Amino acid sequence: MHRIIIILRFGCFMKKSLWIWLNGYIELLISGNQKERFLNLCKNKSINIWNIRKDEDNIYCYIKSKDYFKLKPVFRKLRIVPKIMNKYGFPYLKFKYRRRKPFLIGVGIGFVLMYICSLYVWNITIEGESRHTDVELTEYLESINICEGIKIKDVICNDIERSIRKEYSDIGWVSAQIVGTRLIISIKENTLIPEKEKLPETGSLVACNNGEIVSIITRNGTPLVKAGDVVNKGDVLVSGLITIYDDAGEVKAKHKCLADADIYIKYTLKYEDTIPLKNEIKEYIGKEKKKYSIIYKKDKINLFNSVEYSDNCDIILKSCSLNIWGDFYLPFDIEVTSLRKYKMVEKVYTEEEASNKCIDNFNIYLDSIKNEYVNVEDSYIDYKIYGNFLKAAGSVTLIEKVTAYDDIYEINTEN
Amino acid sequence: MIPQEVITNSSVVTIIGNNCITFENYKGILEYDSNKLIVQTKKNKITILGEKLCIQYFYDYEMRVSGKICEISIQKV
Repeated sequence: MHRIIIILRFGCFMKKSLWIWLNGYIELLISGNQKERFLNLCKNKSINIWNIRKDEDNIYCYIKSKDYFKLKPVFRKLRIVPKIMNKYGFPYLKFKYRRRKPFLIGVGIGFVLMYICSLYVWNITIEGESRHTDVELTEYLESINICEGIKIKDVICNDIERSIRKEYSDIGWVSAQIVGTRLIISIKENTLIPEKEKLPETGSLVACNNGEIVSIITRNGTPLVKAGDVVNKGDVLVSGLITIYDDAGEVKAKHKCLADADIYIKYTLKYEDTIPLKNEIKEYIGKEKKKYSIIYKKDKINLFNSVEYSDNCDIILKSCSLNIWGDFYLPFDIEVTSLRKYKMVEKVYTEEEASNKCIDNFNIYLDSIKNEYVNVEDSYIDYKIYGNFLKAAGSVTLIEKVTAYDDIYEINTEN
Repeated sequence: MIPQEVITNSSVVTIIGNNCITFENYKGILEYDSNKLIVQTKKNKITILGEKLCIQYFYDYEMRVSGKICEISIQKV
């Protein structure tokens, strides 16, 4: 409530200030001995004055232009000669530029163009997407005739929300709103658990790598190994074949099922890396050159000087929509092309630099092998310089959950 | 409910912190300087002592003074 009152008051203040500016106001300097009397007479004549400040023996104040003429009898009465310090507002601006009609017409046309621009959507922002890309959603919006340049009155936010929800079943919540000349579409994607890979109806769990069984808990099937056993890749760990024996110990029946067990295998991978100590790196020459372009839809207009492209140069493109303030976007994009020339120079890494690079590579390798089934139990790396190379060797001990299935083959377990 | 200042025909003086003071229902200014301001109300004379005193606006119904206000005193006329 308090905030609303402040906004309303600020709104009234702005309206009042704009009205005063449109009618024009002046800054006066009053000198003499009867300054207080002058202020009181202004009050009695209901003339509003503001920003009154005293500087030595003079008083500076602001007054509306039309009130200045009402004060003439007061000046005569008090024998004051006021001095107009400055004139502000539209009437004075109009007078100043009276001989520059094309300029005023240009300003007028500018305002009209801005008004026309404000009737269209010039920027579409999509927020909250993760699985769907901006491009995909923008293409879909284009297919339902929602694109940059559409009239704001033709945009029905409810329809957009409804059609997006209908098209994408995994988008649970959509909100479309127009702010300024911008269409903001916020989406929330459903965070459903992804469907598991389809498992076969029957099958045996087999070892995915050569290694040692760390633990085994069988829920379904016949376990063929125990913790501590060493297995090879492809060995059946839990068979999907369940044999039922009768009281005499003879096979009564055999059932095929899908083996289910938590089996963890520990194995070691070797790691090797070679880093050359001599490398070519970029050394930038001269200053960065920038090229500015204005883009309207697919047309591009280059501004200022054009920059020459050459083979050895880095080109960085930055593009942004042009907006006057806040959400008032214009139908133009500004593209800044930064160009920086370089030459390749040879650099020799120190042992520390090379070893840091080697450790970075090793960490990247560790991150690449980790996943929801594979954990790193232990890792080790050692490096040494041989001539112009730093050679690294190490090992990684992993514990992996067995998830590989194979067809059921009958295995003679009696032995 | 009719406000008390309307019944008693008194002035309303509102101070915000020590840098803004608003007068309503006042008669006029007796003395104005960047360090001193004496305001005549219907029943009293209010003296404000401070630094860099500036009259933000001076309307017939309301006046606001800004600056560093150090002392306020009221004398009965």
